[in-house]
Amino acid sequence: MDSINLKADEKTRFYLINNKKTTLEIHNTTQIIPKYSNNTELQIDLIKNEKRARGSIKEINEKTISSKIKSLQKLTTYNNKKFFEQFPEAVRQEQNYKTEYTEFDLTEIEREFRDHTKDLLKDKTIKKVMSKISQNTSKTQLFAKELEYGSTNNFLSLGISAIVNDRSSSSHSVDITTEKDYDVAKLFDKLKETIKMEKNPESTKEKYSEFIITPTVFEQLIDYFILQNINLEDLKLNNNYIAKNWGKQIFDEKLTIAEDPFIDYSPFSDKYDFEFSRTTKKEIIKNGIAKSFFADLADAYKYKSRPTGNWFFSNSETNITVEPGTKKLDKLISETKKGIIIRDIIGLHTANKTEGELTVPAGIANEIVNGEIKRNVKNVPLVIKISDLLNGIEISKERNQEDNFLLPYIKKVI
Amino acid sequence: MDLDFITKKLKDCDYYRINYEDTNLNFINARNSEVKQIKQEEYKGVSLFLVNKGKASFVSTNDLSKNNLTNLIERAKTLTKNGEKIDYLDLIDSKKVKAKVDIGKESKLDFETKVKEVLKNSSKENCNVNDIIYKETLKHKRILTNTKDISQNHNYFVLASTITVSEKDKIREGYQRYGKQTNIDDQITNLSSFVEKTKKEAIESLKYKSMLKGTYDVITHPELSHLLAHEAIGHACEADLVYIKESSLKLGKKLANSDFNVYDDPFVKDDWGYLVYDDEGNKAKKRTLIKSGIVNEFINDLKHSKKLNLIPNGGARAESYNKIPIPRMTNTGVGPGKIKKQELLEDLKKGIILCQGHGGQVDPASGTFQFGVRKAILIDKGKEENYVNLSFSGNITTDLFNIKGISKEVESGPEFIGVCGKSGQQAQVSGFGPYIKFSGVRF
Repeated sequence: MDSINLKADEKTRFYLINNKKTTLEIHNTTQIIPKYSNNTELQIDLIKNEKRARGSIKEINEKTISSKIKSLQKLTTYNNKKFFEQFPEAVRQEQNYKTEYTEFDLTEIEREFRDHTKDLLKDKTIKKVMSKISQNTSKTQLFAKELEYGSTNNFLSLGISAIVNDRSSSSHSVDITTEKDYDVAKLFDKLKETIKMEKNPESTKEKYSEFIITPTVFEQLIDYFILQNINLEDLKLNNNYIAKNWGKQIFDEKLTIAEDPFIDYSPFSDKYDFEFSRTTKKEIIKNGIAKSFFADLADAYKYKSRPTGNWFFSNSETNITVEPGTKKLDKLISETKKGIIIRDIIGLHTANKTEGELTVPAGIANEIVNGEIKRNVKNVPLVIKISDLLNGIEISKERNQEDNFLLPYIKKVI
Repeated sequence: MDLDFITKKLKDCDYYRINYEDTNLNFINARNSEVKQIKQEEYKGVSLFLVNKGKASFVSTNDLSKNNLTNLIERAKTLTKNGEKIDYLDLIDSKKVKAKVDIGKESKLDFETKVKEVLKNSSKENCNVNDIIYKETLKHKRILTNTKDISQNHNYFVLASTITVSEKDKIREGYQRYGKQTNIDDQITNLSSFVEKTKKEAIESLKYKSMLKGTYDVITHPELSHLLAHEAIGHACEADLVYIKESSLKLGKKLANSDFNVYDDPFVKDDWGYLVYDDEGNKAKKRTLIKSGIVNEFINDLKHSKKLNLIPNGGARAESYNKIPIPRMTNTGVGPGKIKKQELLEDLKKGIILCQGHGGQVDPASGTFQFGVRKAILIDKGKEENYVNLSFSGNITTDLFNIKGISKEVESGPEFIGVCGKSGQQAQVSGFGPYIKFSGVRF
């Protein structure tokens, strides 16, 4: 890209994003095609006559920028949605977000993965071990009137998955930024534990009345049934079960779900969103009651509210945490008479999000009888409202980090 | 774009494949008489798959400046030193091919007219018109290898509407989608009836029950049968999944009775899955995945054809220039059976007719498949009761033997489309299917 002087003003803003990624993959101990990508994108956000248009270009030079601005100005004439006369003043932050990054040697990491893989393959029930190592560098520059803000997000993604007899991949991945978090042995230990817990699942026609939800599944449920239902406009239009029950007790009072954009060294932390709105720490669900929503600038303007700092090209969260409970997971299991630990849900995207109905099966689960895990089972139908599933619950003391979610286990007795 | 500049620098290499793409996107999204989003974008980019001294690398960029491309080529060459060993170059046809394929026709309506039509129809009384979406993706692809120069232009069009209505605690959604690989101008100019149909469906569903439990005999509507073919069979027949043992299927394995046949046919004109060349530059072929109930053929790219000792059948697709092509479905469905649709329906004394699909998922290794059902009719002793939002799940290796009948009539159309996700890549797909009767499905 040529060197470009991006002049932002009260009606034009720019977001320049460059992503570089090198990926090494190993299947068992065989090297798969190494990949490298280098992509740049310039997002332009502008206002004309209180109408807004946004667009992007990937071939970036004076000519293409000028041409894109003209075409966006034309697009504003089609837009009938009123917006600010000019962009609200962007909040000035003196410091970029606290980051630290270790330069990793990918070839060295690859060697370590191969050694662990060889060890894992001694278990003859494992058909395939697949590893993926990616070095990511993402540079974002935001240009508003009298403000330039740049952030660089470097992280190393490590992922492994194993295919075991009659079971698709059990997998784990982690994104890390510093050497202190680098622990390949731990990642493989986690995988071994998962393989054990998901091995040789049997079909079952049993009915269960007690459910323990793993943090992995809990993450999916929170994202699908809660975070995707709290856009301000959906709430104003009364479009889903959270909107209909705003301010009421929807979930168990023990359940508090919070968003924290300021967790040190998390690749998901940020001080600004991509509209220059300040990110905020907030309780989305407090003691079972919906408290906070996601609003971008357009919805904040329309509904005379405030932007919540969640616009990352669509409304989404930074880091999510759920407060732990007091009982250990072992205790929750030992107190279960006949139930399952749900380890995986199949086809959640087909469930009824608007009414909060979970009607898809557990792909894999551990059957508990009289306080002990007896066997692994598969394809167990689940038909329950999410508000019922997350009421009358117990919460584990342990929490696991799943992507940008720090979550406990949840137990429900029907 | 001058791709010769790149090829000149690759003469010493064993093999190269350049995937260049130039995409124009027009997108209109309106909600309750207001523009939600309008986009007119153009994306360009190029990738290079390079084999040098028997080893391969893959690099991509959207910065098409000569300086960057020169650096990219050098990086590709460096990466091949520790790259994947390639043993399938002998499968590549050495015959020179130069071809240009145009799939579908561009829209004749101007952008302003489309915006006006979408906006005009994005409001209805007593409901929330959450989304009226019109999207056209005009994709020019060029695939250049040592011997081939293929240009293939795709014109994907889709129209979708989502309407919610509510009554007390019920919030019901009507949804419709219509997509083709040729312009859908006739639908744009007749958008009102499209949206009205969605509203009617949403309002009717307020009367329906939900959360059905139990075990029932089931008849799947063709729209569901094609989802079954896609989720339960198609994915498990993708050669990369077979090779890494993530699929439970093997050639010759019996999965169902003899009147069950599944095809992947890329040559159905105007359908979303239609293509002539795959993204490795090979001519696509019609694939018979299941023949008389037996696994007959997989969807192959070059690499997995070699690994599994199969004949390549042009099954490699990539979401975009910056992704490596992998085995993917195109237009997948179940072939006709022997029973008349009417007889099949009349024979169902107690059971459920699954009417409208809502996506799905499969775990190919265990064979567990699932798909969502927007609408179902429970039939018991001559009475009918409507349900919404069910989930149909089962296992490929056992439950297909529970097929008790397949209709002679096969249906397809612009509603039988989807965006399939696999390995982080999306692909436009379509399908077809008959009515299929199953016994003993657990909900």
